[in-house]
Amino acid sequence: MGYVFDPAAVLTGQYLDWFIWGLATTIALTVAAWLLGMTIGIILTLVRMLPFRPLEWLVAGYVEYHRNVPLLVQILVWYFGVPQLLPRAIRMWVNSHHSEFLLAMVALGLASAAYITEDLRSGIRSIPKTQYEAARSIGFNYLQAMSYVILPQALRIVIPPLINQTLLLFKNTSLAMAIGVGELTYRTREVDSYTFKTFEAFAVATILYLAISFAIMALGSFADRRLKLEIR
Amino acid sequence: MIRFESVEKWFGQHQVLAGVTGEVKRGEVVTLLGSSGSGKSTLIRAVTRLEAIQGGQVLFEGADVAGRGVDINRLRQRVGFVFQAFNLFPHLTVLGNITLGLERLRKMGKAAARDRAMSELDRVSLADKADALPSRLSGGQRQRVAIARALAMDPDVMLFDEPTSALDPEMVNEVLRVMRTLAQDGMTMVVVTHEIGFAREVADTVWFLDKGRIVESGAPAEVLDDPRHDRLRSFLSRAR
Repeated sequence: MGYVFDPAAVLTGQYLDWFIWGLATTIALTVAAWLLGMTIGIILTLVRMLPFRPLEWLVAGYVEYHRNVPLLVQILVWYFGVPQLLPRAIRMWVNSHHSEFLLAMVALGLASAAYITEDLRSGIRSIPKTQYEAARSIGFNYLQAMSYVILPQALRIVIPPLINQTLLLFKNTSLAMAIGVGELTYRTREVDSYTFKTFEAFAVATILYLAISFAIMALGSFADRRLKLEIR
Repeated sequence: MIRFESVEKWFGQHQVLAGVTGEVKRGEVVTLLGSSGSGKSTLIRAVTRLEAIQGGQVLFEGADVAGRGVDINRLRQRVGFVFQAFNLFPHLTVLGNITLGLERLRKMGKAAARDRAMSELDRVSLADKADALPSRLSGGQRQRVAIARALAMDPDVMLFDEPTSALDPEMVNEVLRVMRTLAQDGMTMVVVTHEIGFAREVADTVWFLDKGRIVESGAPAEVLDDPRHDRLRSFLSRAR
């Protein structure tokens, strides 16, 4: 018996809706986790650069945990473990407000932050110390020198590795299906089990993932070209 | 305005400042001469605590710059610093380099900061480069922007750390011209330089440093034309 490849079968009615919702959830999860990751990543970078050793070790520990424990484990810890530590009132609130999306976002964002702070640190290291001196000489304090002079330059330098982190984050959102987030992979599995059109369902998912990945790359290289530092 | 009292500084085992004592008065132009490694850059960097010192004191308007009550960021706003390598911020335009401090520290509005920056750029004859990135400027132009950036903060004194040493010979003069005008306008200046001609013509006082000490100081005419010290004599003969 031959297999008839029939994409139209999974692109009608509720299946189409599921794909659209799945894609929207994947994009929302990527954007939210990215914003969280960038924010935490920048904060960690500022903290680890302070001349106080224990803070440096603390951030190093953070980075090693997030880079060396499987992301799926981190997500499961956040979903099954952390809510139990919360006060009852907050736990109730989280559970009734799509806790799976929220906790997946936190897990993905925090893991991204570990990679982002590593990239940022190497970017900052590549900026001559004299830039920092010049900023301090104008009268800026540490935080101002970092935010107005050093970080804007470091961010421009690390755009290429940041594009990679963004792509990784985007693909890793599929792990959130393990805790029931209705993102693209989860919805694809659903379409598959309702229609038994496995190849069609995953072909659609593959094309959607590829399209978004290419869009991220295009956006990234556009930003890189626009913002590239002219040193010489 | 600035007083150095027995200032000492070591880099490891090497003593770069071995008890420097001297005073820069308001409105005075002091030029620091000396071969490389004599400690002259370190000395002016100690004024704004870009270098920490291990002995003695640096006083700015009577207060120890390393004192507990001193807000170093405030002090740095009052002391303009010009570096050998310009150190312009490459991600900002010429104008942006100057307005950054005005907007963020002086809390000026965008328009006011822009006006102020433009008048400083005018002073160094670079108003037409306001929107250029530093990478598009020549070395001499970059250093003039750096001077304008420091002047915009309306400092009480300007420190120059070999401002023309990184420049091609033909660009040295455009920078020196700006500094000469500044001196004529009455700005208090401390200039580390190898430009003997500039020292002779513009400085009120010349300090000659050797091995971390001021070995000779006085008016340019007496120090440069009638050197008593062997080290200064050989320094001058090599410089000519």
